[in-house]
Amino acid sequence: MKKLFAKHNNWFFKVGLILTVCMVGIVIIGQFWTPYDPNAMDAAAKAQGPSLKHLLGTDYFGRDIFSRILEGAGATLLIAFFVVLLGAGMGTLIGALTGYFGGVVDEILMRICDALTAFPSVLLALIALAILGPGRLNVIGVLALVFIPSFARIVRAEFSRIKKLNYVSLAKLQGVGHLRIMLRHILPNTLPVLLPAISIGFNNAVLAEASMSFLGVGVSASEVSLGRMLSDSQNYILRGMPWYAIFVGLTIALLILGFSLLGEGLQQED
Amino acid sequence: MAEEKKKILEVRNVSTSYTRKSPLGKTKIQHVLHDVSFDLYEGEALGLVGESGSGKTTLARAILGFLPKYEGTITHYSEHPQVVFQDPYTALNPARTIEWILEEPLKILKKYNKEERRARIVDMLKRVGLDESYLDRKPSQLSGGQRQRVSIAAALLMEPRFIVADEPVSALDVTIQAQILKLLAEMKEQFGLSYLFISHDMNVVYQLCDRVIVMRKGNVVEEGEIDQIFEAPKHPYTRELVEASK
Repeated sequence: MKKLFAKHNNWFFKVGLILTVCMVGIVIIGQFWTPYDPNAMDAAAKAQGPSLKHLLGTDYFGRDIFSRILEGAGATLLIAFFVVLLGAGMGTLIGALTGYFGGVVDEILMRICDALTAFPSVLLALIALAILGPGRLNVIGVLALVFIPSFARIVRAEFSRIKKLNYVSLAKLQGVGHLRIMLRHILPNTLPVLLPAISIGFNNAVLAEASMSFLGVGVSASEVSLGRMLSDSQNYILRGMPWYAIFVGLTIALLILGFSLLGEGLQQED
Repeated sequence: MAEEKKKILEVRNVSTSYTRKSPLGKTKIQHVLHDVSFDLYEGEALGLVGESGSGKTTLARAILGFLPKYEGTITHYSEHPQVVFQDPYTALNPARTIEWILEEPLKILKKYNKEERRARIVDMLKRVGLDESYLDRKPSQLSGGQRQRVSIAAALLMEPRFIVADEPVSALDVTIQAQILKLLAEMKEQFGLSYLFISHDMNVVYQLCDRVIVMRKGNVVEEGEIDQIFEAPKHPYTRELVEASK
């Protein structure tokens, strides 16, 4: 961590890290404690604006918006986490194997990736989700699949560049096995490229989940997420309650701003 | 030579070529190595000299097993041949510390436990003119000469009897060159090593080698004892190289 700071001593990294840590920290606390039960309705406190009692106001059912945002952001972040974990994991695995060994398998897998990237990823995810139906697990699966090619591509490029360097030749000569060369010799050298990609992946995953759910193909109606809430909140804008949509939108904006600043900061070495 | 010497490497009739297709569809066969044969004996430093494009690095790659396809046979009579590369900047893993880089070959050998490995690494660092303070450093914190010392240490830790040195000093300053050459000569004495020393610089070869092979365009044009090559070169190309180095 200390080294990371020394290496990326720029404002993008600092601001991005602070913003991300704050937002994620608040959301994690929200998983254990919220000021109100996110689903508790209070007829006496319907559609109120922000106040000391209800920090971000209440909706038409008298539910505390702040508590609901905490819960929704938690769901969105959890989805983003698994999307990036699966997408980056599979992408790194495919990229490492194809980049290191090359050959026919490389050709086949990379052409499949080309085919996947030929479609806009959000469109592809939309179609897949429209077929599969909404639900948290479907969102994770589809988005992870759509995310694989971008990770595979950058990891492959790094592996095929690094495998030609002398220190890899040297490791082969020392009798180091292929798996160990890939994991212990090459992979650590891909981190300067992989870390920003993961950070930007988070950014894209949050945004993609929000868009999917906003359009009604993301998480199912009974589940909560930021995109779902944004979709619900649009009904309130014209009824004189713009703050609901504004606060949900602001949460999404701050989350992705944090991740993208972090990604930008990680790319700039100092 | 009268006395019988033990072979450490035997190269017989090694050829390799690649086909190049011109835009007009004609295929051209480009010979990189053409019928190269030589022996390397125990305790000997053999210089391999030639200009760039003479095939000397390709030959080294074939000897080290990095060349997937070639004709002829290469026979090693020793285990774990090692290499010291020309470019000390890509020879060491930039993401790792010197300790990790030096420990890796020992882990693969599986002969020593943790303390023994550490002791051997420290001992080897001292032999190549460095010390324990380098253990925690990354290659980026070292100079070219220091990196080459680490490369030599890494090679020696594999306990080889034969090392290929591919232009090990040509990327270094002249003063550092002399230091590294001296180190290579010392290590040769200490460990009874054999070298295949590749260089384009006759002067450098003269300082370290007992025998020289001169290559040009994939062919061996002359082979002989170092003094004979320097004082009475037979082939005009060798004469050219010797003249250029004076």
